Amino acid sequence: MYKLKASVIKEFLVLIRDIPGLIILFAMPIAMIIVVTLVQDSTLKSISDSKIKILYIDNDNDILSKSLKEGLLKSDIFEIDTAINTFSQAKKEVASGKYRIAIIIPADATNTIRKNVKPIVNNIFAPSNKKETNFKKPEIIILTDPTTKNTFRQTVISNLQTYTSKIETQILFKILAEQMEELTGTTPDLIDKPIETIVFKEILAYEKETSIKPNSTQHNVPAWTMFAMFFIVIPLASNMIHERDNGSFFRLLTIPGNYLTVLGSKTIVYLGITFLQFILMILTGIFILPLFGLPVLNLGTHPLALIITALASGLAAVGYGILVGTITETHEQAGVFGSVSVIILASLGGIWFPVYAMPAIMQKISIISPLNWGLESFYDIFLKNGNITDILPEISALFVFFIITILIAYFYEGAKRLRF
Amino acid sequence: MVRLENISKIYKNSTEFAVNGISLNINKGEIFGLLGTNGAGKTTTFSMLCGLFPPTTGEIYINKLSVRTQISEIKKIIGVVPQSIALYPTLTAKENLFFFGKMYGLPKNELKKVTEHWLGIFGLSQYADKKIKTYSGGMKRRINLIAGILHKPELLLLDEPAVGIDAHSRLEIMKELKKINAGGTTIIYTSHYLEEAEKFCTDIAIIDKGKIIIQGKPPELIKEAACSNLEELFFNLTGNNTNV
Repeated sequence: MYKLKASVIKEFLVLIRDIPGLIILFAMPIAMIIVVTLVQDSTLKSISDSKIKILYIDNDNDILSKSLKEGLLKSDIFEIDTAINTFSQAKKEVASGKYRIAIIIPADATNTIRKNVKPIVNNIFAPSNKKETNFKKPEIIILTDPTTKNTFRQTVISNLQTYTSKIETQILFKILAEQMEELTGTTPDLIDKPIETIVFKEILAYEKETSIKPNSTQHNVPAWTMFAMFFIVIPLASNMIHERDNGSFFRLLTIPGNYLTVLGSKTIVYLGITFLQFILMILTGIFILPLFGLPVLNLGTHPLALIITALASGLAAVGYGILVGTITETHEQAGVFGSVSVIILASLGGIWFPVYAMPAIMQKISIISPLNWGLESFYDIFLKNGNITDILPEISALFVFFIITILIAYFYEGAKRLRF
Repeated sequence: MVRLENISKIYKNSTEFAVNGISLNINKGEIFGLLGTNGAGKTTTFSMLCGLFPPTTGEIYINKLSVRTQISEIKKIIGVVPQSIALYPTLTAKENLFFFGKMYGLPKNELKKVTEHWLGIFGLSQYADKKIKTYSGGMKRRINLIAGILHKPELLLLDEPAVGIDAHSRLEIMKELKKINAGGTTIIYTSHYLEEAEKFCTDIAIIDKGKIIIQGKPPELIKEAACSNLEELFFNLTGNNTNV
């Protein structure tokens, strides 16, 4: 215990005097959380929360164009700009990228629909050989930026179709009601009533009752916390190689004691660092991200499970760092192998891109990444209010990973000297 | 105290002997110099004496304990001073010495005393709280030495302890090593400073191409070979002093 304490103090002093190492460990992940969350949040908002600027040219100036405009505004997705009123100007603006989309309502569009209603009503009672088929259809022009994603275009067109269909029906009913009034002398109670026989109710399916919704913060904070923890491989492996290069490791090998004391002290100090990283990332999610207009991080309802996940993830990261520090010979090897392997494990584990959005084969492969185990455990706690029992499979896997990496490092080090 | 029985070493991926059939007996209280050119096999022998890796063949005994099987016991009685500055550059001298002293199991109070004692002896007391990376080469060498003697080892293994430093610092170190030896510590020392070895060592062995080519007490060896000094003897035996 005395030697372990001495070794822990030494590791701590060496670490806190390595300023560039500390910057990598703390400042970089905080910066990444903020930047990536902002980027992902705005990407998500572009098709959901934030308003899409639409150039709207109203050549109709009647019920159709006005109702369509109102509907688009009511949807809370679109922001209408009516500054331009010619097709060529609109095309120019969209082509230049100033607007993603422009909608041009043709002149007399409402009247054309009105004119169509009477033959439509007549068609209901007319024999099949006398039905009117030659309707004039108003053509709504939608100008889109060619670089706009198809999903975005589909969102806009789908919204337009919904509104025009509603308005068309309303006009139809209005005219129909007028005609019925002419025939019966009474006004049917159809006008201005929304024709909605089916309504949609969206419920987020959680295993337990919660009001937390997954968002960019709920994904990015745990994701980049895992990444930061595993990025400890760089300073940790570098520390071990430096110790070997300057001979202090050689001296340690000639001192009575077990090599596990050396590994134990590194584990304790770097585990402390990963836990500090975790706390900082959580604080960033709660206090800093909201300053950028991002959603606040919600921690779920089981803080103990959260702490255990952080510790298990930290242990796995430290174990991996020790293994890389043991098997690599130079700073260059450790730097390249360490960073590239962590980036690959992060990609597989769903840090950069959520696992559910990956191809099926990659989703299956993702389970080999310890970063995925930690991330899934955080998701369980943040999004499903998971408790210790719920996260047991993930934290067990992380702990087993730590044991295996330490054992490999321990025996590899012994074998390395026998190989001389 | 130390017995090397026909030890040999062939490194992995090599077909040549780094050390080839060395046998030595080093008695308690001796200052034994293991001398030779670069690549002669000194550091390989030194590393095997420390138990860093085992010999390919042969046995090494320290206090009748086998380095191959009883290294844990041997580590308690040896002190090692590697050729490189085996210290943490971002820690102060005191922090380095406290760390290595504690790893040797020295109690805190005793450690404080011996650290102050040795820092005083080597004239480094006023620099005790300065980081090693700010030290000169000679100062680093002295701290490197102190880290290996804090626990008063019975056997002190020194690999080129005064390499790369000025003559004054080297003299200081050798003088203190003599005193340590006078206190009962056996010293095994590798060097290519032959003049220094001649003055410092009670016994020497010259290694060339992994083999001992001569061993004995320096004055006797010089006299027998009718040479004026150890360097001349060395030159006559190896035919090459370019790396010495």
